[in-house]
Amino acid sequence: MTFDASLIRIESVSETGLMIYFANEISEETAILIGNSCGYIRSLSFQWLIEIIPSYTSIYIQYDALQLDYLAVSKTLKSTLNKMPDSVASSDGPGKLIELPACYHPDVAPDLEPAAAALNLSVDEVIEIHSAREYRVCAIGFAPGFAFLASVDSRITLPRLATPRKKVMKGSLGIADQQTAVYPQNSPGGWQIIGNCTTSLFDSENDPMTPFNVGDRVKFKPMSLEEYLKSGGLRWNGD
Amino acid sequence: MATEIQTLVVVNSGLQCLLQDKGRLGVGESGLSQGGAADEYASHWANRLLGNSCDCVVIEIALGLGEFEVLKPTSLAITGADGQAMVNGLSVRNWSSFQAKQGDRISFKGCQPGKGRFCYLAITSGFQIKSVLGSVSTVVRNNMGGLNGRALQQGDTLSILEMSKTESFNRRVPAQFIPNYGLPLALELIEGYQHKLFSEQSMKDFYSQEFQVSARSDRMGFQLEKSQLEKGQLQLPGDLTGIISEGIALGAVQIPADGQPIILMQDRQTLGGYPKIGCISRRSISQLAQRQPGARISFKSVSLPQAQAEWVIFNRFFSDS
Repeated sequence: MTFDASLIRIESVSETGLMIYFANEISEETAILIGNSCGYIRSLSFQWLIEIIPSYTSIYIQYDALQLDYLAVSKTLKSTLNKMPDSVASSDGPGKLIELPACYHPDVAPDLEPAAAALNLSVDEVIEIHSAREYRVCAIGFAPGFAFLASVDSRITLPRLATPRKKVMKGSLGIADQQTAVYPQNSPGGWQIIGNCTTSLFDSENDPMTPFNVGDRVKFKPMSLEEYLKSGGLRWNGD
Repeated sequence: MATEIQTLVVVNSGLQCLLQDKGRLGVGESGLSQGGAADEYASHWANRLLGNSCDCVVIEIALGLGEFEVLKPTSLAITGADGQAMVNGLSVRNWSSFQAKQGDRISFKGCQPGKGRFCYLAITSGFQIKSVLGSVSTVVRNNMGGLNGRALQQGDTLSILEMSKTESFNRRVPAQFIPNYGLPLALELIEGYQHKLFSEQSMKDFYSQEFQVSARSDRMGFQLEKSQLEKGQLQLPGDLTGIISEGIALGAVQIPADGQPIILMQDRQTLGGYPKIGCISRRSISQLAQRQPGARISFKSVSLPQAQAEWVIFNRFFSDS
């Protein structure tokens, strides 16, 4: 992939906030570019940088308007991104691979059997398809440590539940359309739950707090119910 | 390290009393909300009345419900919503500082209609609380900050630095700086995000409409609803109902499919997929935070340079003390 900085749009959104738009469509290449751009901007340790929130096609930046105004910040960012070497922009280096054990079993995942039936697949086929692929972290948000992973094989895409659950159990592995994700804490949610992952994905005491960065790769490794329970996993206790 | 001394105990935690400062900055990339005082204008004044720096920790008292007992002589200040504060049953003036003796009971009787929704109680040198990720701000939704990630509870004891100065005189905020939360409010909108998706005519109509604050408003977001059925509802072209999820700035104005704006506040989620027409100014956020359900709200346009200049002046003013 060659990186064309002239396609980037920078727009102000508030006294202290601006958006950098990289593309109009979601793609894996854009996720890599955004992850790398965030890393590059952070590595320069700008004194005025307060907050940096990457997502599928954009980066939100909060800056200290007491130090620099919008024009100065946007100019600096534009020239920074222009100077970013192609090798950094498209490198897969920071896109580290995170392997997560996942237990796909009806006792921990209430939607697994109905989803398989709706997809005209066996439960084993759903597991095989979901765990075969490497996913890309496209955004982190909704809840602390919640990483939006794309994209799910078209044979196992599932719509969100018509009525979201009041409680989805911590560790639940869900699918919503082309996306898949693990719920790091108990929370409300409407994704269809097909498994559970016992790895801690958010801890404010840790540095970093979450293993994910936008642009990273994630692969799920199936584990049996016995292994899962032995490693401290719980049976489904959500709604 | 300076010694800390227990100075205030929570007798009644009311509806929700939260320890707040400027917010937890730089944690959005992990999905954490910033938090911070809902009305930074009032919380900054509370600190200024005591000669504190404006990032000292204060208590934010929702709807003016709560009671505290003073354990050691100290100086306190109250600002923001009028919660009918009393010391040992005698009224104290809002937007002022006062001296408290050991055993004094500071109680709040609640906010009457039109009198705001968040009271601020500041103490000389600020409450000394262990900060988490650079801030003490309580974000209950994230179980983060405050005392063990939660709102204050009965029996919680709060400390200040032992050497903190107490003043022998009381200060008041001059009358012209005290807002009237009962007046209709025109929010300053800095246009941005997806505002260009809306037609010029529908944006024009939007500025002429009146909304009211809905009961579904909290530290995450303030929902507005139409005062009556009006024409020219802000709607997206065609069947576009969402956009690709992106980072949400403080004060962002989301327009869901029903056309009723939602303004995102301090405890907002970090990402969102509803179209937005821009952000209201920081000054407007402080004003909006104090509006009770039913309050009348409209929008007016403000340029980015003007809003940015006012934000700088605001901060310079409060960093003087």
